[in-house]
Amino acid sequence: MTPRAAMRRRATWSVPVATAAVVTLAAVLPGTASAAAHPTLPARTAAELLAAVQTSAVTALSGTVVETARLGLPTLPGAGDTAALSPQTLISGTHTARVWVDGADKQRIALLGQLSEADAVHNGNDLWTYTSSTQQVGHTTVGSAAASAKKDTAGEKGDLTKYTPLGAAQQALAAIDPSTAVTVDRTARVAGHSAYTLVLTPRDNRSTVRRIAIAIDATRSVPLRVQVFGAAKAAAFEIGFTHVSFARPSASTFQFTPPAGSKVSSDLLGATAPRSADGATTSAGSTGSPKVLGTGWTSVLELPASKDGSSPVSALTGGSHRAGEVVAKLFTTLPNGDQLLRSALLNVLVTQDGRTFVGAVTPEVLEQTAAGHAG
Amino acid sequence: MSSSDVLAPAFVAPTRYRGAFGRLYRSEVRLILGRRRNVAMLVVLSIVPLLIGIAVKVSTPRGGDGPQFLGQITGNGLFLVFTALTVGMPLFLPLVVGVVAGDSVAGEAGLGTLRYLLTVPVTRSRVLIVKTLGVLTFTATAVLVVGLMGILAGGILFGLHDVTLLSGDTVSLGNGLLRTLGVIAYVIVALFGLAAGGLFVSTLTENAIAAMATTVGIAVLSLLLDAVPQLSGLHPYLLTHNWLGFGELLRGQVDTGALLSWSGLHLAYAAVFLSLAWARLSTKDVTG
Repeated sequence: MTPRAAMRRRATWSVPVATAAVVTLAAVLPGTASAAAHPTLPARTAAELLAAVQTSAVTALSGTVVETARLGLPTLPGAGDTAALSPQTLISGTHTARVWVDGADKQRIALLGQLSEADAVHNGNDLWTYTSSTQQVGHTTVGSAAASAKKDTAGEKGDLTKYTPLGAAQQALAAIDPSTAVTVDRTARVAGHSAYTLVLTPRDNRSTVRRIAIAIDATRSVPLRVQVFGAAKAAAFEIGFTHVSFARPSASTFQFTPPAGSKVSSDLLGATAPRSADGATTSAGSTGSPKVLGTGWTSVLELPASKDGSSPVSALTGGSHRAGEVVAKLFTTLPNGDQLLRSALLNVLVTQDGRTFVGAVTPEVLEQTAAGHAG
Repeated sequence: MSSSDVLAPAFVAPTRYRGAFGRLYRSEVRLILGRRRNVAMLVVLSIVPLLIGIAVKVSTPRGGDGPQFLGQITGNGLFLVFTALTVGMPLFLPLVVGVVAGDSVAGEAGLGTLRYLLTVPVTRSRVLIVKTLGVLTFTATAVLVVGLMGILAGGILFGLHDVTLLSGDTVSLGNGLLRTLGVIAYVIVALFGLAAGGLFVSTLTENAIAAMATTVGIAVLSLLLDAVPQLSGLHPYLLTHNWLGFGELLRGQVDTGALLSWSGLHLAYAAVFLSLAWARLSTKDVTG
């Protein structure tokens, strides 16, 4: 081969190399080059940020929300990619939703699957749910006596913003008490917006929550992301916008008409939760209502035993046997016969008499609580 | 002296003849679509929506079971297209595209006809462009066959009606058909990355069967990697990850940004594979 031919050959092969380089850069650059990861913003104190969030003038927005749970729990069988507005799909893995908010009366959330979608639409007095995979429609009137009597339906309160970063931030801020250290951390970029980071640190070491980081939009003071950290380096639970617009969504977004031929049921969760093999929904009757025990960071949720003696945890499995087996393996039996599930953030204790205690607290706190509130 | 010095004419612009490129393209398409094997594959593809349609007509599926959209077919025949594409996307369509793309250069090299092809008065780059257009034409034909058969069979068996979107909103049939065209276009673009990969593999060997198997292997490998949860960071960049992204077109508010970025990924794959194929073909010793 002559030197010239070798040069030509090299020049030819440099074309695909250059193409690959350009393509890779085009894919990587938008994420990194748009702005510094920690933009420079005028300094603000934690108290100023808290006040700004409470008085934020933003009432309308739309965007894409990504929720990630790294609790160390496996994906339950049947809770894979399908979009369903049920807790079992949200306790593991990553989920994407679109949200539209226009004041306290109009919200819409669409949980996205690749070829499926589960929608919840709140408009005035109406709350609709729709699941594309089953084509089931749920409808309830918000605030009516019937809706408030059913505690475990989403109809208890029509406001859907609680399932967005805004609601998560509100819950975290409501947890602030004298035992919480509130500080300001480095600034961040969230959904292309510069944001302040407010950090809540529980001083009570009986809580499994090490800190909660809330990213707050620098100009509009809207919470854009909430991260809850346990002992691990990565956030155990995270909900945040990946894209957000503060333009008012069109009114038609909040109009929902049940599609022709669909079944409308008053059971919102029945419309969205996956059904077990025999077609029955999994809301086993229980002997009482859930109670919050304790206060602040060490509060524990007590779920009473259901009538048939099975634990409420079985509701998480959607009644499926395979999911039940997976969940059963996660529990360890304590010397006193109680069952304990440990995760990166939440711990669950099921006593022998079937009561369930859930909390972001150490197992010892759960056991003490269970002992202190003997059924 | 190596043979590549003799074959350097790839870099010498041959005498231009008017219309040579068009003739080459037409002859390529005639070759691909005229080959009995390829016609048989198209027929099999067209049977997919027909079979699903007849199966659903005979026994109405229970809601929530089987592939997506299956339960909606009885209410609206248009969903037969989406079901058929959902079923065809992981296996049938990549297989068909892989066979034709893998065969395109390697097949001719194996038969010894590639050297005759390179004697026509167009450059090797243009031969590659013609090969690419030929494979792309076949890919589009394959997807259109599934789509049109789906509309036809769905329309005859169940009738076409207003379309209920994934978000529960209802749009007119016209809007639904427009979205269906968008779905078909997206699937063609999505398969282009794999088709380009097949072309590149095809320039590497004279064994057409090996090239076809490797091309299908690329798709299978990508699907496998996509199923490993530990690699979730890699998933958005995998060739097959957004193949079913056409679902976006069936939402109440279509996120065009997402659709464009997914299409961009497929085109990026195509650009890299095609430039590799170009470099390989330009420097290839065509002796056989």
